[in-house]
Amino acid sequence: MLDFEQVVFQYPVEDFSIIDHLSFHVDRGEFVSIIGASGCGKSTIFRLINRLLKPESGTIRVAGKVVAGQEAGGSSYGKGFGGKNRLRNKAVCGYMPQQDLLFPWRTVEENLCLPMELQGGISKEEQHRLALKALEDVGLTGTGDKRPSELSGGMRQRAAFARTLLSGSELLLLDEPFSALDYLTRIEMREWLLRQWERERKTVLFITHDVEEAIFLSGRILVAERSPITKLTAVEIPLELPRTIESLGRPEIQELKEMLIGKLRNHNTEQG
Amino acid sequence: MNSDKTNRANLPAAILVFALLILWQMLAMGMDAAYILPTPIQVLQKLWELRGPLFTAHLPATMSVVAIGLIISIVLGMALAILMDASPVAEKALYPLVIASQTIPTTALAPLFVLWFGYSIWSKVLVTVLMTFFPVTITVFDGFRSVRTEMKELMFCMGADERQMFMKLKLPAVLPFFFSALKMAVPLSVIGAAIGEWLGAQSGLGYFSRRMMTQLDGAGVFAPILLLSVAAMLLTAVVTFLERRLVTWRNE
Repeated sequence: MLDFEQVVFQYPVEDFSIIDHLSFHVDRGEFVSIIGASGCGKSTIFRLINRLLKPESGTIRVAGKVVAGQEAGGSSYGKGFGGKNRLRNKAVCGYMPQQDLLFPWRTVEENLCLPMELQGGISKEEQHRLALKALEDVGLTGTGDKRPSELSGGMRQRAAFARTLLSGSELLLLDEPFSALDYLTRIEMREWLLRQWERERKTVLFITHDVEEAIFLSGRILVAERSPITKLTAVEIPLELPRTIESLGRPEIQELKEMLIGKLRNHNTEQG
Repeated sequence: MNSDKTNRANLPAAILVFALLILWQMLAMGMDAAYILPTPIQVLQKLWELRGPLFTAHLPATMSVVAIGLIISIVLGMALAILMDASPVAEKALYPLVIASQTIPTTALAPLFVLWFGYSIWSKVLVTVLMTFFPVTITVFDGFRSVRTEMKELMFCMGADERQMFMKLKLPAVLPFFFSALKMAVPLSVIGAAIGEWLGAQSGLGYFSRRMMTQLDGAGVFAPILLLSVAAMLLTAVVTFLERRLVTWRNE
């Protein structure tokens, strides 16, 4: 579903490549988390997939189609976008940022319809029907006509998730979507998200700095042990579905958690 | 309930205005020189006396200058703001010019406009536009600048092209700024029109006020000015009303 091949990226202001010949692969239908210390370049990986950044070399494929690299078509953000490059922009994946970024001038339902409006070719009635269905799926039935400001933080994130689903993409990128929520809501949202994934079975790539969250949600964790990122260490999570908060209490999971935290701490002491 | 609250909030201002009016009335009565300082009551009386020419000839003349000037300013201001937002080159070229245009002493130049356009409406419109397009341009441009980068990026990731980016993100995001600009532009356009007429016209409230000046008619000078202020206030109220209807998310 997602392939990185020898991807190199360097920010213009830095003198090293924060992503250095990175290769990894995510299968269709997987739930994969990327963990790593803050500032290590996790979000850069997302921005490369999203075409907000352009790799210096290497190839990124989503569902077999090259989105960044030598043969990539379409527009990219920044220079190309708004400049000479006027090829039709097309979404490559569903993206859910840290903040919900629901547009305050649109109702909840209109917000959900936004990705469909942008894609075009979907009738108003169909959009309405799909939006209502999505609201029902995420447990927000009856909030369609409300303004985003009338919803609680958790509800807004659910609406944002529904909007991400309605992008129609098979690959969802979730960038610390629960980090702005309070602890209890966060725990609730984790369980909720896992149920959503079990139902939808889309491929999810999830960024977090919360090791427990990563263990609870993922089938596989990719650890960015050091920065610059040259490789991601894969760790399988031996937990069957459905998972509950209690499953996290098992001794082998505790061990795993300590091992992962150890890996991340190593990185920090090496740097310091 | 809501209007009740607003009324109560306006009460201190109303009391102050009333007190000032009484002060003015007493001061003017004490001076007893209506050609220098007429009393508020004399001004109102004059307004009533002159209601015929004021309301049928001069008010419509001024309001058409205001309307044409405002429309040109809004179109010009929006166009400049959109252009500067779309192209960094245009921004570098235009922004200093727009700022510099405000250093032109419009009032001093206005007689020249009369030479160019005669006593036609266009000399007055030019003064109005010069005074009004600036706040529209700068405020709307600021509005475009303040569109959150994260929202632009999200739009891009969802596959928005440039037209959609403008129509579905930038335009709605800039609407509150547009109304702020309008609230500044409306009183300025009334002032601009009055100045334009003061300097050379055959009709209009500014012109009328000046004519009364030459006749040493103090109340006659004030009456059209009072009318101008009320017109500006009414126009601003209309803008505020529209804003409340259209911008429902301002404080979010």
